[in-house]
Amino acid sequence: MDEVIFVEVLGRAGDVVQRHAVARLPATIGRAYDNDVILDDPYAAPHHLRLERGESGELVLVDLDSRNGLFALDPTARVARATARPDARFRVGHTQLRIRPRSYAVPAERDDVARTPWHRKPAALAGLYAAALACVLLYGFASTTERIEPLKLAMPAVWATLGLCVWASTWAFAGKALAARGNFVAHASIAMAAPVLLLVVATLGGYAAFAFSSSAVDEGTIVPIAAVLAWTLYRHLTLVSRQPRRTLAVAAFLIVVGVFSVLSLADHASQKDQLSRMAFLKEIKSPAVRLVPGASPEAFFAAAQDLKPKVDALRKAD
Amino acid sequence: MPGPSARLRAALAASLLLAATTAAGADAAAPVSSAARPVFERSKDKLLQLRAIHNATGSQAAIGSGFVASADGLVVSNYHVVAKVALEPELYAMEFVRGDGTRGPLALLAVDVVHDLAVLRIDARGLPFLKLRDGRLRKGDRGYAMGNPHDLGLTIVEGTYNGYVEHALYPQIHFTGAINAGMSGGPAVAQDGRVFGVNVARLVGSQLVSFLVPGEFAAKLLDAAAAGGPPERFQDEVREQLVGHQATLMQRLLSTPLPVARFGRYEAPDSPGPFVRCWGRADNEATRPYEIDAKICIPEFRLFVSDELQTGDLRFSHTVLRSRSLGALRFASLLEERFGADGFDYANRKDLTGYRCRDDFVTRELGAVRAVLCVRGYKRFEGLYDMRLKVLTLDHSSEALVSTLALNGVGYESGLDFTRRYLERITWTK
Repeated sequence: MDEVIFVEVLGRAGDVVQRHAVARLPATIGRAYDNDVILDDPYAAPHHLRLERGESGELVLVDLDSRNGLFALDPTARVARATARPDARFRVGHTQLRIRPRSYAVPAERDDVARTPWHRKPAALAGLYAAALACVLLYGFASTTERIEPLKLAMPAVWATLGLCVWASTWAFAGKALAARGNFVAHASIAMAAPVLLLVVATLGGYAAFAFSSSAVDEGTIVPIAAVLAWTLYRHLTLVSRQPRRTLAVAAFLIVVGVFSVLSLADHASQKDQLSRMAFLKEIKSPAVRLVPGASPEAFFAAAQDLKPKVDALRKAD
Repeated sequence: MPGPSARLRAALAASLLLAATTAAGADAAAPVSSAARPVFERSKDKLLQLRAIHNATGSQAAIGSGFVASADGLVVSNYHVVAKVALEPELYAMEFVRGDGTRGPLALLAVDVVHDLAVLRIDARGLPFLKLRDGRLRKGDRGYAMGNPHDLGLTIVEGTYNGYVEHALYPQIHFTGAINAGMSGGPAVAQDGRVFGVNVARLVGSQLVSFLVPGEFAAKLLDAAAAGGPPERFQDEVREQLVGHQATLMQRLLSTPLPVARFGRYEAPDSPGPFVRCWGRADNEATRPYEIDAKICIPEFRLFVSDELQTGDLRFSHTVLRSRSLGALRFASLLEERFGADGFDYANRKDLTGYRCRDDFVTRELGAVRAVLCVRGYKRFEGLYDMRLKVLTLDHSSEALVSTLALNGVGYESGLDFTRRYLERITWTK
């Protein structure tokens, strides 16, 4: 008795739509009801393919002189017969096929992000929500220099909660559509962790920039901020897509880099028109935060001599 | 400006003039001003309207007044009337229009940016002209300013001589009379029929407060114009005069120690002379979690270079911010708002480069301050710069002084020198 062979009909995203077990070879594949594997595809011939063993035992697909032919994919090429390796894909009419033997070895199971226990616990979820709200409120409090009005201070928290629901729902819908799983709670916990991380990173960056009087630190804060955003996007993507983790990580990285590049280009373009813009380190913290002694007046004004050639160069450039 | 509003204005102006004529006719017997009529009769054939014509469209770009000051056709006016022709001679040309409507071209001979004067020439000989005298009359003397306000026709305005302006860096006559736009460059004639001043400005938002350039400066520029030909490029001439002005100003600022004034626990630069005036203001509304004492020092002068560029001045401000109930975290946010704001300087690309800045903590024996120095350069006037200094004291977590200095149109070294002295004069007691 021959080994059981599986003929898989694939969807567009590479997912398996139908799987037929074939117990005996040769087997035929086509639209007619007397085939071993029946394809519901008007572009497939009644008897389109034959699946058989080759001379050295390999699986072979043979085109039965169909009008639309047999195509090997990656790269696409019309073939009369082809060896059906377990990862090779074929097209017949509008249907994608993959042939795998019973002996095909599958990789170990993936970590299930949705199953990760910590954010499944209600207490953890509540804690995360509290932390996110605290960040929003603290930020609002610290940046309000006028009299504190509790209602005005609370509004951003309300908006943040609404935004969080919309954001997590959108991802959950995407997950339902693409991976047949909503994972609302998991998406929400990712979306709550992000602002907490962002606030921590941005605040630390601001304090460090002031403490060391360093514009480089201030501008460099964009790197961890981008990293947090890329991580957030990556976590969301792993829940909604079946693509390999590596592909998703690269996609998240490229999306964040792309968005930041476009934003910084737009920023740069608009700043060119603002002749009165002064680019200097704008972070101000409490005097106690300062960690470097700074320059003597002599040194500061001696260093200011460097501005002259820069300005003169601007003058000549126009 | 064509359009309904222009037509309406013209109709309104015409009706006002008509009303005035009727009133004068009815009241002809009353000697309102016995002197104005003969002064105007004697002067009118020497008065001119000056127009800067935009060559491409053939339309006027600026209008002002002027007068013939010599038989061989020298004409006196203001620099600001001819500025377009001086700086962009390839785009604009000057022409004059006499009271009788005849017109002709004018050649620019000399400019004095500092006193806002210009000398031009009509290509003609044997012209009737007004004689100049010095600007010293006696307070209360009558004077007659003439010109063409708002293109309404040659006009005479009777007014009162009120001496030289006391705070000016460059002398100007304070004249109480209705000088209006378009009369710039016209003569102000004393009772003896000679020109003692040239109309130059009025104080906007005031009643009849006007200014004249004293006659002696016009005479000096006339002599210079008669002696030598026009410079090759007026832009270079303007630059030289701006450089000369900043040297005079800097000499004045740097020759004596910068005075300071107490300001709560702080001491900060005070007005360096009568040409800069300081104003104080408190902002301590009870519901606010902080209070402010502010002082702003602004100059009494500013040189007009073009419509887009006025320069050659300095201004500074000090603001003491005191926390009532902000706490260190929010007080730092307040300082960040105040310190980080960009200036609202008007700037145009034709004249100025962007800013380049340097920021750091600056530490003296007393302690550290946060300092930012920004510099930009003048594109058409090489060697001139605008400097901006911002200083924030870091002596206390609930009280701070924010000080800003703007120095316009200065040389790099002297500007930096003054900026440094300014910073060093900011001190506090613990």
